[in-house]
Amino acid sequence: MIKYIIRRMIYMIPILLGVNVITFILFFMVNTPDDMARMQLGNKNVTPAAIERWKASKGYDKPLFFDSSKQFPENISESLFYNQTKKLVRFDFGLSDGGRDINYDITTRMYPSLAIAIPSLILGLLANISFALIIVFFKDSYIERWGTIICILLMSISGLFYIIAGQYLFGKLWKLVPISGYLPGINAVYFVALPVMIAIISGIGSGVRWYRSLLLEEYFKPYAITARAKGLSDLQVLKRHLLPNAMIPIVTSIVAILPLLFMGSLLTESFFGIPGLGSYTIDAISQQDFAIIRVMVFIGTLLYMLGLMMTDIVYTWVDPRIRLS
Amino acid sequence: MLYLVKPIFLATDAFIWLFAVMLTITVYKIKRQPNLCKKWSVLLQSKLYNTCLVTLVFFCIVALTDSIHFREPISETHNTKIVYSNEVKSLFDSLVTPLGIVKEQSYSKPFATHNLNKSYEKDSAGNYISFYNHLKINEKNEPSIGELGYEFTIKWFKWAFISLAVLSLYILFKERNQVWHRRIPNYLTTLKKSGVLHSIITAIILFTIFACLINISSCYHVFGTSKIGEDVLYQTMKSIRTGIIIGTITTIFSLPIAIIMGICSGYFGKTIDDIIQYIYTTISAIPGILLISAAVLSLQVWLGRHANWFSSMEESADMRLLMICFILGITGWTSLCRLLRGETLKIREMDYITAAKTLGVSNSSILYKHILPNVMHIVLIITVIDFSSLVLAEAVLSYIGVGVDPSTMSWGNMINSARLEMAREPAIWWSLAAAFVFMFSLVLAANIFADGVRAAFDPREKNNAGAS
Repeated sequence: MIKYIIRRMIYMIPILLGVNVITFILFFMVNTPDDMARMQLGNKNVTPAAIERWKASKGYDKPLFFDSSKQFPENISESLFYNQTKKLVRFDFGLSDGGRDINYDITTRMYPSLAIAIPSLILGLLANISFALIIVFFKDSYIERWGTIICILLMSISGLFYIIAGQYLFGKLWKLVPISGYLPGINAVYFVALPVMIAIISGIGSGVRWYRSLLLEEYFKPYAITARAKGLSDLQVLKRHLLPNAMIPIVTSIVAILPLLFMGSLLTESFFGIPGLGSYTIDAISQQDFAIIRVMVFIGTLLYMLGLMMTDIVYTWVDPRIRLS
Repeated sequence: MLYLVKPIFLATDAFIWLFAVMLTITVYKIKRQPNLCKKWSVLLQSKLYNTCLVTLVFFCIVALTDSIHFREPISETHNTKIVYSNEVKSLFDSLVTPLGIVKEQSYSKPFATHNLNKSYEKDSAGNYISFYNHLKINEKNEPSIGELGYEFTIKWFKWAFISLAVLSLYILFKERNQVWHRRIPNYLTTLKKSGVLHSIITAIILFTIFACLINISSCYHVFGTSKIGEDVLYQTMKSIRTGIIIGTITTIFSLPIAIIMGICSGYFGKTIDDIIQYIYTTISAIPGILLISAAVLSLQVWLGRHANWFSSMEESADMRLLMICFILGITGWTSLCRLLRGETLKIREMDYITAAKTLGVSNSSILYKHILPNVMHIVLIITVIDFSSLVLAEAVLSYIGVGVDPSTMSWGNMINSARLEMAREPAIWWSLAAAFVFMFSLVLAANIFADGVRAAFDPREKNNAGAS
C-alpha cells in the first residue's frame, strides 16, 4: 500500500511540472512581464525605467528559461522559470501583485470556504441520495416520471438565477437572513444558511439524476433480481442490496472532490460576500492579479491529484475485489 | 435598398455557418445509412424529443440569421458615392424590424406607457417639476392589447390560409398517382407516422409566438427596457446568437482534438498512449474555471496589445467571443478523449479489427473505417450533453468577468447587470425574467434532447430498458 502511494506521488511530479509549464506559458510568455508591469502601473504614461524597476522588484527581469550569458548551473538557476517553480514547490508563494502575503491570505480564507463547502456537501449528498432512493423506489409510477421531469427542469436553470432569486426572496423580501457578509464563530450560521441552501438546490437536479442512474444500473443486475425473486420487499432490496453497491461510485467520487473543498465555490462566495478562497480567486481574476491566480492553479492541481490518489485508495477499501497494482 | 448593403464578415459568422454546413452534410450522410436512419426516426417519433429538436432548430435559425452582418447605406448620399452607416446590422435585425429600433430614456416596465423614473424640468417660474415621461414607442398611438390581438389574428389567418392553400396544391400534385380524394389524408398519415406532422405543428406554434411578440413590439416593450433604454426582448433575442455560438463553435475546436487523440491513444497504445494520456491528465488536473479564466485573462492582455488589428469595436468583440470558444474547446476535450480511448481499447480487441489487420488494411484505414464509426455514438451523446452546459458556462464566465465582451449582448451580461437591478427599489425584474425565459427554454430543450439521444444511441441504456 505504502509502495503504491509512493509510486503515485512520483507519478504526480511530471503532471505538476506540466501544469507549471502551462501556467508559465500563459502568464509569462503569452502575456509578458512587460505587459504585467504596464497593467499594474497603469496602461499609459509608463516610462521604460518604471517598468524595469517593477520587474526587478518582482524578480521578473530574469530571462525566461535559459540565461546564455552564464555557465552551466547558473544559466538554468538564474532563469525565471526555475525561480518561479522553486517558490511554488516550497509553498513559498510570496507577495501578490497587489502587495499582500499570499500564504497568510490563503490560511485565513480557508475556513470560511470550508464553512460553506462542508455543510453543502453533506446536506446536498443526503438530499440527493434520499430523493434518488424515493424515485427508484417508486419506479414506473407517476412519482418517478414527475421526479425526473423536475430534475431536468432544475438542471436547466443557471446557478446564477438560484442565487439571485434566493437573495431577493430570503434576503430582501422576507428579510430572514442577511443578503451577504460573514462573521466568524457561531454567528456564521446566519450567513451560511442561505448559500448552503442554494448550493444544495442548484446541485439537486444533476445529482439526483446521476444517483438515480447509478441505482438503476444495479437494479437489473442478477443479484437484485434474485433478491426480489426470493421474496424480499422492494424496500429491503433497495436498502440492503442496491444502496451499498451504488455507494461505491458515490463514495469514490466524493473522495475525489473532498480536497477541492478547500478551494471554495467561486460563485456562491463572491455573490454572498464570503471571505473565502473562492471569492479570493474571483477578486484576483477581476483585478488581474496573476501572482494569486498562478498560486491558486497550483494548489488546485495539487488538491485534484490528491483527490485522485485518495479515490484509488478508497476504492480498495470499499470494494475488496479491486487490488492496487 | 437591400442590394446596396455592404456585407461585413465577422469570424464567428464564418464559423457558425461552417458548423451549419457541416451539420447539413452529416444529416445528408445519415439519411443514406439505414441503421442510423432508423435510430433517428425512432428518436423523432417521440413527441417530446421532436418538440425539443424543433425548438433547438428554431433557436439555431435565429442565431444563423443573426450571423449575416452588413452596413446599410445612409439615405442621403453625397454625390454618387454611397455612404454607409457605422452601425453593423444583421439580417435578423431587419427581419424583426419594429423591434429594437426605438430607444427610450431609461428603465420602463413591461407593457408600460411611461418611464419608470421621473424626469425633472424647470418650469417658467424657475421651479423644478417632476413628471413621468411618455415612452417614445407608444407616444403617438397606444392601441390596447385587444386591438393588437385582433389585428394579429387576422394577419395570422390570412397567412395560414395562403400557406395551407399552397401546401394542399403541392400535396395534390405530389400524390398524383392516387385517387384525388385520398391524396391529402394519405399524405397526412405518412407525415404523422414519421413525426414530421408533429414538427410542423411545433414549428407553427413557435413561429406564432415569435411573430406575436414582434407584432406587439411595434407599440410596446414586451419585456420593458434596460438602463440605457434598450428593448429587453431585443437584447435577449440577440443573446441567442452568443449562446448558440458558444455551444457550437466550441465543439468545432474540441471535437477534432478529442477524436484524433482519443482513438489514436486507444488504438496505437504504448508511447503514443502514454504521451496523450499525460497531456489530458495534465490539462484535466487544472481546475477548469481557473484554467479558462487564466487563459482568457492572458488573451485579454494580448488583444489589448494588438488593438490596432481590428478596425471596429464589433470585430474585436467578435474576436474575443471566438477566442473564448477556442479556449473552452482547448480545455474541454479531455473528458471526451478519455471516453473515446476507453471505447477504442475495447473495439481494438474485436475480431473484425484483427481480420482487417491480417488482411493488410492500413492503420489509418482501420481507424477511419472501423473504429471511428463505432465510437461516433459517444461523440454524439457527449456533444449534445455539453451543448447545454456550455450555454450555462457562458453566463458564469461573463459574471466572473472573463466572458464575452461587455458590449456583446449575452445572457451572462444581462444576468450580471440584473444582479444590481434586483437590489434597487422597486426591483427591476424584467431583464432577469427575459434572460431566464429564453435561456431556460434553450437549455431545457437541449437537456431533454440530450436525454433522448442518449436513450437512442447508448447501448447501455437499451439494456436497462430491455430488462424492464
